[in-house]
Amino acid sequence: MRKFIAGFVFILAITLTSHSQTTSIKGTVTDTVEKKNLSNAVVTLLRKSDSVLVKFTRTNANGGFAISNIPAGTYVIMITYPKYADFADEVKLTAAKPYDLGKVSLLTRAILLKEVIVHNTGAIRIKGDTTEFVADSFKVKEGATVEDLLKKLPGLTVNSKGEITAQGKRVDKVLVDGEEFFGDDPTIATQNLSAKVVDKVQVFDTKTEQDQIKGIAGNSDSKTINIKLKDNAKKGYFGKMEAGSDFDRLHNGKILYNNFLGKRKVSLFGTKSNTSTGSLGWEERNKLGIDNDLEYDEIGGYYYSFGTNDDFSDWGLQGIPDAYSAGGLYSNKWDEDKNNLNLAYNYNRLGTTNEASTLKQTLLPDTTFYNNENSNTKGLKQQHVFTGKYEWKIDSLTTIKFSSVNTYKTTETSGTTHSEALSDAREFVNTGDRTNTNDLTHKQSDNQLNYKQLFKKKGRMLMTTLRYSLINDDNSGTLYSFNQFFKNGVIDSTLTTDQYKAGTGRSQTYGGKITYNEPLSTKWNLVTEYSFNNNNSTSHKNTFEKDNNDKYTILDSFYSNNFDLNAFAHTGIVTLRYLGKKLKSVIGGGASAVKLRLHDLDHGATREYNFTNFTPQIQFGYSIKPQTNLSFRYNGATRQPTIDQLQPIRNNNDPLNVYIGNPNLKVGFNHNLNLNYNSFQVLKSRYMYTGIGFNFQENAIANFSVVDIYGKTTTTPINVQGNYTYYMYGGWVSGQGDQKLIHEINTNVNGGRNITFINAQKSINTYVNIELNYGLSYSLQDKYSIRVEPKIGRNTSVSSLRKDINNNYWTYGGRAEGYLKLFWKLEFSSDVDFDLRQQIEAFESASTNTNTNIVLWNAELSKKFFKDKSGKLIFRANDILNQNKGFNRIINSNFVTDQRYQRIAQYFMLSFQWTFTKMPGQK
Amino acid sequence: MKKYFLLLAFCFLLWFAKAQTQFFSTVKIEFEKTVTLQALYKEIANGDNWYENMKEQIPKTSLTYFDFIADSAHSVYKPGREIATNTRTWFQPMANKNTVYTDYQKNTSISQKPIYEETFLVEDSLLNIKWKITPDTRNIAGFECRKAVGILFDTVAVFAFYTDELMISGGPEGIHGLPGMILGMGIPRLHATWFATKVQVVNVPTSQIQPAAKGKKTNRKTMLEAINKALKDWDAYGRKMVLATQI
Repeated sequence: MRKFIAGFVFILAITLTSHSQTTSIKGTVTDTVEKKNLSNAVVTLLRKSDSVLVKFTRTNANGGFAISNIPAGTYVIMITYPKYADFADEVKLTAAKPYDLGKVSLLTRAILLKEVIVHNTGAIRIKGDTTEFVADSFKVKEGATVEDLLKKLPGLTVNSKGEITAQGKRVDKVLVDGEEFFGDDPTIATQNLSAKVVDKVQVFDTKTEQDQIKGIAGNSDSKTINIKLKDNAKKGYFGKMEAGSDFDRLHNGKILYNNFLGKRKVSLFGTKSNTSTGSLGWEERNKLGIDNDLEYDEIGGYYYSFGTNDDFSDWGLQGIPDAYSAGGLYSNKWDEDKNNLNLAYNYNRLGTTNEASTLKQTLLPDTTFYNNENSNTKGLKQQHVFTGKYEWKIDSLTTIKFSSVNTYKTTETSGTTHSEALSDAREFVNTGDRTNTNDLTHKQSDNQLNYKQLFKKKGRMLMTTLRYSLINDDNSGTLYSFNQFFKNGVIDSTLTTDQYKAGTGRSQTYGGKITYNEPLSTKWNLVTEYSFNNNNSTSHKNTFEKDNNDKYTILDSFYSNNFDLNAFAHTGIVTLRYLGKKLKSVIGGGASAVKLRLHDLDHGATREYNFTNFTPQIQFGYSIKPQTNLSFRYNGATRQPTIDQLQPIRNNNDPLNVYIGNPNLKVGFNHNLNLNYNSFQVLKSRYMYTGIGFNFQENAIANFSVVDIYGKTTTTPINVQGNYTYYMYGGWVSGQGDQKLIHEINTNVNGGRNITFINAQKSINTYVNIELNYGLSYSLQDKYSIRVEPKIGRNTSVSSLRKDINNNYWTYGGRAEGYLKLFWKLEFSSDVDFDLRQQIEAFESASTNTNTNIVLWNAELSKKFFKDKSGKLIFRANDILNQNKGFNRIINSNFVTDQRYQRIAQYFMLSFQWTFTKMPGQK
Repeated sequence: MKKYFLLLAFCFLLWFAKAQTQFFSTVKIEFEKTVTLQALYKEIANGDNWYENMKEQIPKTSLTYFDFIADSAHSVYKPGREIATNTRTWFQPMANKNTVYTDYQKNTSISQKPIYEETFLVEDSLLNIKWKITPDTRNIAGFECRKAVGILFDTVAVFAFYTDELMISGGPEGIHGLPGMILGMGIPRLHATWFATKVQVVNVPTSQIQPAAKGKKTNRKTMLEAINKALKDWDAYGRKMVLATQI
């Protein structure tokens, strides 16, 4: 004990060495009643001015104490002893004059009678065990805190320490809108919140979490206060407005607005664009709370999103767009978040015009032939989507969820195409001109009901899902085509097709799924799942020729097809999951029995297919150390042929390319292996990742095509063996921070083998593509940044048919971007993408020999306005060199395909953006 | 034999407790550290609306346990029992694996702090905390505790409840310097609290009071420089993280 005190004197001596004029104090502590000396009493010396602790000691066995080396000054000496009232006295210590406090007698604590304050006014409600006070009924002075308000409430007392007593019981928890404000110290909430923002004060018995789960209130000896805030204290909004134009043909506009009041959110948006599809970006959708469909997989332990892969994303955009979109969202929660409603509506309208061309040359051992095609198309797609979600948490263990997605979509397309096929000697084999129109109306409704039941045993869970969906498709279209066929360069025959096509599709699906999770131990879980799915569909596709009255009434049965399909599947899955500290693994598999019954309405024949599908999976994740993980995954899956591949439907939308299904296709099987490693060294700012994957297909489906002497291609799917693909990737990033070089290296390899049949000749193609890039960046935050990323790639391929042809080539290029902050709040940024390709032999001899190098250069100058920089004026120069042609080229040892389409290329646009925001609590 | 001794010790304790106030100079305490995640993220978001959208997916709190073993001369604070963590959260607890050895006589501490890929072994003098004593008291784990408010690094407030009955001048992490043992502590800046859930005063395994040995030897200043370099660009989150490693 002495050692301990000595230790402290030593510490304090260090901290106070700067003072030379010191003094000391001593005394003895006794008990008043028993007149007994008190040992181990704490004697604390506080500075009087700010009550900061200066020194402390404990009394010895005889109750005596002494503190020395004290700088002169005025102090409060405090002596405390458990279950005794505190002693505190002011002492003035002068230098070099030891102070003797003498004998200090401590009193055992007397019980004090608390004063009871009674208020007669005020609205008080009692609901069950909850007493509720309406805050505005109790007058408090301007600037009062919640504590001042609580003091006025009947039955509540607040002592000088901020401790609250409600209805005779101690208050141990103060919640704000049902949430703990900070830790366990109730005074933090009561002393920091303004009384003005309080709507109601609720007082109830403190329940433990277990009580809440059981739904039974225990015999609690303490109370909880819940402070409900006024709604206007939870109000907020934010939004964005944007308008831009090139003052000629391009006009863009955007409005986003989100308003929330507590848990009620309303979002609205509208866009118009001539440079993109007008769809909101991910960030904007996320901000507005649209598409916030992140779901948690309780069993897999990860978040996932269904994602809507629709026709209105910018990725697949070809042609010149004229796009509009609008939508709204309403979401609310009530009854302590037990009810959650989410309603959304989304409208998209995308018109496009496109001029496209495809040039293809096919290299066979005995011959080479060419196919060229030019088309002009116009399309208009419109889509209305209405989504509703409702979740009801019946109690802490049971949840019911209903969701519904309803889509109404129309697509109108029309176009003309000119095509020509040329022989080895560049003589015409055939030529064709066709005009297609097509109108499609698609209606779809998907509904899902979920029931989730948790149990008292942690981790045990039962989940049931019922699904019901309906699809109605109606389409009609016309085809007019004129084809000429040549023999030795001379017209041999012609074919005119003038047809009307009408189709309807009706599909109805219902299904159910039961998943049960049983924790075997804290680390092992067994998941079992059973599901069934039943689909009934009808498809009518009829083709009509013109009769004598110029009306399409004569059925062309060769190109007509009517059938009913029933597909019924049962699936069972068993998975064993292990979640350890370092090792996580999943082993399991599923089996399903699928029965397809296809009834051909034209011929009255019925065909049945039975498939058994298997899906084994193994997954390991190992955390070598924090931020360093190694993972391995194997997935196997049966690949069942699609109905279009099985069905002998003939389709002549393009009379020169006909596709015929194959009812004798076997099911395939996919093996997928994958190994990943990543390591993030935060302090060293170094990140490394690498991965390798292999995919092997048994009974893969390949296209078997035959070209007749007139250049007409007929394609049928058949099974092939020996297809595989593989990939490897790796990256390394090092460096972070201002005015430091940040290095980055990325590499990508992909390759594989696939089998195709070109004019009935089997071709085994093996290919490897390698790309390497190196990035270097340097920046100073809010001043400038620069980044260059050169890249180089090598593409090689060999075909068993034409081993003599070398179509291997290099690609190089990269990207450079920069940003600079100028004077007058001006900012400049620019980026260039280089996409350069080595010229190869095949191109030089072909009609496709054109320069395919693209240099895409954009620049932007912007200026921020207003005090909060919420306004921004932007001048953008897009594709300054006017090179951004839509372009796609596939080079293989057997064929070279060159595809071009129209795209918004060079433009100069001036736009203005304004963002506004007000968050709850902000002024 | 051991059981018998325990029983005897217990009877003795009962008799003693009745007779007079006891003071203890050895102790083993289990601390429960609670981080109020939603409040922490709300502050980090600083008015950005991602918080409003994400808050449903953020768990309210994160719990970790620590053991504190001490006699009057020195103490060790180290990770305690492990509880199943909520796999749903992408929150990575800050500073939940620290081992802090404090020598009250030499006024030094040896702290093992795993921070990302590095484990630091920090040898330095004890933190300089300016304590203000208040008259407020509350009962924690059966001990009457007095509230003190400390100021760390001139800006960070530490709320601590200490008891005179435990004659150790320590607390969770590197917090120390009150006349008695801290049994409850809160650092609002970190939205974190530490509260004693178990206090054991007999049969304290004092042989376990040992500093951790593994790690890269450094001092507080050098470690701060290393962390600052990496986390400076992480804005509010980085600043919280840096503070969490400094206490």
